[in-house]
Amino acid sequence: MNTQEKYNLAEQVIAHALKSGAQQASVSIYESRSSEIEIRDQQIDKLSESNRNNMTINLYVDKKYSSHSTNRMKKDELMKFVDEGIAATRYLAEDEYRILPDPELYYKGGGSDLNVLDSSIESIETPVKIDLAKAVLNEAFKKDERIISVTSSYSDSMSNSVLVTSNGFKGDSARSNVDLYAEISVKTDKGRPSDYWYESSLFFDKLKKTDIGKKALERTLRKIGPAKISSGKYSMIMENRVAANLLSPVFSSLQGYSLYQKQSFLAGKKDQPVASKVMTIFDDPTIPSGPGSRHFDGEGLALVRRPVVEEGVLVADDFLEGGAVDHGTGHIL
Amino acid sequence: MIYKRRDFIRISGITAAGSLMIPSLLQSCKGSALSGNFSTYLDHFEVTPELLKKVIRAAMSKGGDYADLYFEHTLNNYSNLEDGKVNQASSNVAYGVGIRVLKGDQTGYAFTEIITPEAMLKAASTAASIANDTGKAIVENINEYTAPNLYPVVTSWEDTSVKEKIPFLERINEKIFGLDTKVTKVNASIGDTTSYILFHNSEGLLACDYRPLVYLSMTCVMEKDGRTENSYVSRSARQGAEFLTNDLVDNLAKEAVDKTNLQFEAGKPKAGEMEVVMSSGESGILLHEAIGHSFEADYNRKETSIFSDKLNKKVAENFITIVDDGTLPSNRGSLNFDDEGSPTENTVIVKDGLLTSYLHDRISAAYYKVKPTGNGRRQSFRYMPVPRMRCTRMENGPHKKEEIIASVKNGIYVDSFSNGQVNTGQGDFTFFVNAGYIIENGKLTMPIKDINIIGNGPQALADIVMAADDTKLADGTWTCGKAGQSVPVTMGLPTVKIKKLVVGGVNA
Repeated sequence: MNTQEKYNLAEQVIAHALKSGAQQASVSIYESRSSEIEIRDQQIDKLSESNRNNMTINLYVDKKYSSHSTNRMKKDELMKFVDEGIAATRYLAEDEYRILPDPELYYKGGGSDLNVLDSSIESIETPVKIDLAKAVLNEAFKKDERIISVTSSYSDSMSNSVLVTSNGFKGDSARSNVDLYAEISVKTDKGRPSDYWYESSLFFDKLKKTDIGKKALERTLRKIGPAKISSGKYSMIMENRVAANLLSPVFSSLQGYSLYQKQSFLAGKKDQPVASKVMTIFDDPTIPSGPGSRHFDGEGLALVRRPVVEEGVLVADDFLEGGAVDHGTGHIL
Repeated sequence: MIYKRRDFIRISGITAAGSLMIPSLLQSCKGSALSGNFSTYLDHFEVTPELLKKVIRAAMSKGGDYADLYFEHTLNNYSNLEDGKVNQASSNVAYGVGIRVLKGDQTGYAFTEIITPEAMLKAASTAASIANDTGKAIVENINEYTAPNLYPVVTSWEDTSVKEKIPFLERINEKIFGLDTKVTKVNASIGDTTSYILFHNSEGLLACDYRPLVYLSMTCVMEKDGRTENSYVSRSARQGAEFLTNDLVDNLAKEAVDKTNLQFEAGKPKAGEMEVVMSSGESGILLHEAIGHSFEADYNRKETSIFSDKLNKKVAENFITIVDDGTLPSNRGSLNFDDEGSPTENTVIVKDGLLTSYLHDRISAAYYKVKPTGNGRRQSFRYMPVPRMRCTRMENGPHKKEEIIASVKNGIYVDSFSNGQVNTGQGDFTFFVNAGYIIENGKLTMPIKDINIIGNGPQALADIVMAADDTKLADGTWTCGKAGQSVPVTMGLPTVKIKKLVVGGVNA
């Protein structure tokens, strides 16, 4: 389906939902295509291609809410799906907070081009992909006698989606991604350490295509002969590749659900120091060509750059779903 | 997304969705899917034997050695209670076919969500391109496989509306709040999945399966003296709606409250290396994480597993036998046949301390010249199958639980976990312990919580010095992640003593 066909179908489904008894509804349609080639020890080990599509329908019926998704996109089936969804929603309890966001909070368009789609990826031929993956592998293959396995892969994907709500939002987005990856295992007396490296980009031309296998090999060889140290408290340096894991508890604890279900250690700590003074964290969906960049979230709310922690002080109070409170923060993905 | 490690997690809810009703296309199967009638499944997916053959021929047209078609139609339902109300429900329908071609140990794979001849032939052609040779003949006869019936269903989920699930969720809420005045929040979920599977391959095999899966889970939050503690409990099985009973709800509610109360009294042990007694049941995470993944044959075939050179060698004490079982009735990890059409079995991995088998899919079985063990599994038709575990357990040992605890002077006893992960090449693992006790002079003393246990798989296996005769299975919502795919699993262990593991704690 092209974008307009998706919009048409989404609007038809919403119209049917409203006619069948829903007071509000939203529909998102998502489509993606991806391919992957994996090479192991100079031979193609895996070759795969996929095409996916999916529709998600959120129904708001008599102050009750349910959500349904399907990859069966035949119109008559969808309408019946909606009818039965509405009927089942009526069994649920009311929830006054389950409503579509205030339209004032929606993204209105006019934002800068975030530059997240490379259409040329569609036309990259399979032999090119194979050659790229092989080049990555050859940077490491047989470069050290301790190597027992070298795996490399090329993968790319393109996706697009539309979102339509019954209270006036209509938007679409598309993005691409391309990766090259290498993983190496070596054999030693004390085990078979392995490590990896990868490069990723939204744009094929900007993808770094060299030194991936080489770096994976360096990192793997560095792991040979590890020693266990005594248990204790130590200063620890976290490599940037994994340091983001430190932020995961922060963001999950600031999810609205965690807060109002009293499962957050950050509840009530706004404006208090929660981290070191050298720590400043912000959530920025506006970075051009950023992997997470977008103008609106999964509910259509306009996204802005938001500080979360400033010099160790928690400044964000929540990342709440737009329908859950009387203001939205634009963080439903 | 690139996955580096094999993560084993307990989830608090399967990805939301589920049909609250039966889509129209399923009406043709309503009430008849359970009969194993092959023509019904063919009608369900709107295919004919002739079309299946045509697609298989296309898949084999470039010289592949083998091809298979995995049709799937899965319906998920999810209902959730929070703040005393069942105010959230969702559903998901997934429908499509995955087409795989093997050439030696190479795999070509494509899937389509549109089951038309044109779409399937295109996908078959894509998958076929893994080979580059003259097309090969297929077995023209269709051999219907009569699978066992490991998960009979009394009341199907398609016949169970959300209206019938709500009372159970409300009962959970009522029970938990009624058991303790410190309770401030209760969250409870029911998730059910029904999958229709039709499988056909170039060897002529035709198989069909009706797979139910359900879970009931709850989180209890309590407050006391300004502190908040919470616990999560769950049960899961391959059953129909008969799974939901008041007894189940009441037992789980009590478990949740007891578990949460214990958290208020729990502290952290002193950090360091020590003896660890692992209780029966959930401690099976040790098997799954520390050892199980390293037994999956794809890692061994590629020589990246720490156990790659240990087949037929002693890896544990003589009283240790470990199996991976896909045949337990109604078990979350069981399958009537695996996702490559191979019969499942109770695979003996370690017999009396000797490593006797890996866990094979079709590719590794051919490599090692053995028969597949029924471990080829996939998350859905969108993925190619790889060796996965099912229900991994250690059989009863010769000791008694009481003597094991009594044998520890200074150590810990652990009995509740939430997640773990392993590096199969080095064998190093870690898992997160939710609850346990300190052992002092052979007795359980202070409760403990929220600690990591770190070790090395082969070493830990070799260091199991005592095992009791009380093997128990963990029957919660355990889900295994590998290569970007998740599959439901279970595991089990008797009470065991490991002579040393590293325990994260305080005053290190």
